[in-house]
Amino acid sequence: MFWKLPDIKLAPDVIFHIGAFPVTNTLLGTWMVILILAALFFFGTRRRDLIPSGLQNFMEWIVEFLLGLVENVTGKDEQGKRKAKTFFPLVATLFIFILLANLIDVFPGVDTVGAINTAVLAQMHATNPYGPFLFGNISNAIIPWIRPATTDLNLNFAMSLIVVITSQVVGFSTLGPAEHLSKYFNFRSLFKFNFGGFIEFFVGLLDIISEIARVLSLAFRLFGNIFAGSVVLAVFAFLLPFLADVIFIPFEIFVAFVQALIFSLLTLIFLQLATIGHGPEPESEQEARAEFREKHVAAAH
Amino acid sequence: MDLTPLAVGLAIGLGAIGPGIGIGVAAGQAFNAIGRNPEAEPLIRTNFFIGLGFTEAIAIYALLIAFLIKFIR
Repeated sequence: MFWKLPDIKLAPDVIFHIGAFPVTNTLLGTWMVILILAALFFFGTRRRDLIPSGLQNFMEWIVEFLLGLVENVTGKDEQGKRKAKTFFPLVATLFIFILLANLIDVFPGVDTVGAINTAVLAQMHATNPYGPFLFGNISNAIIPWIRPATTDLNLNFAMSLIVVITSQVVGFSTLGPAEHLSKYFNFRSLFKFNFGGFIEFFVGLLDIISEIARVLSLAFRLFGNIFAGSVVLAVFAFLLPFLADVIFIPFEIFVAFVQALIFSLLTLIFLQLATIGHGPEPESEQEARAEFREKHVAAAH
Repeated sequence: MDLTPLAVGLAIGLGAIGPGIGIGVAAGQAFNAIGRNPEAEPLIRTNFFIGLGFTEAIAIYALLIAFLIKFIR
């Protein structure tokens, strides 16, 4: 047999220790992404030309594109632009970081270059006669040095927790604690004493559970897509080397873009929803008609 | 009798039915919308991909459970 099916492991492996702190291979992947981003933004913002060109132009295009995306959701009026300025740092950072962390999945060397797993070698009583290369029965006895950052469930959970906690804090600070809490504990509708009011109160309680579901769904969507992508690349490299990955690597690049966009778009939508309280109370038809008349008659004069 | 391979097969097989139908319906509506209004094609395409990401995530959840059953006892 020329080669074996690669080892698929959910949890990352510890590569070395700094003092008492274990450094895993996904942590090394995260540091690689941070270094690339720091270098890119340092060189992109060094010159402050009024008419940009080259790297500065590219950075400005990215920032304008993301600001347009944020303003599309928050609205283009004055209050919307202020909200866009508040939401923009989190949404843009998440987009750029997740995009790069997903993209290093298709880098040569990630997931393929690593240390030899001596435990597996000892278990199979085999020796490694070829030096730095692994062939035959021991070809999957490898611990990769760098894994893509978003294949680690810890990172995805951390990011989705940050998003949900931030949206709650934004809700408390823009609406005030009473109004924000009344979205979940909807006592105003309970005091209407009819069946509809009771159902609205129950739905408000269910909204708390949906917040927890948001944390789980954000984390697992991103993790599942990128982890399954890395597994697909490894397994198809085993089944049909050199040829199958020509189709799957472009697909992985596409999935990287789409998942980064979805994560940041969902963040933006959660933040926007947190700043919107209850709608106006439903009035009787007479009052609604009077309001309509005075709004449009006043505008016509 | 070890039923683990059956569990793995059923997990991903049944789990992919729903998203398959969902993506087919979404793509059909997208084609319909492009046919009615060919000028709005970039807008329709962008929103179609966003909807695709959400629907595909459900299939990925099923794939994740299949992986978990197969590789982590």
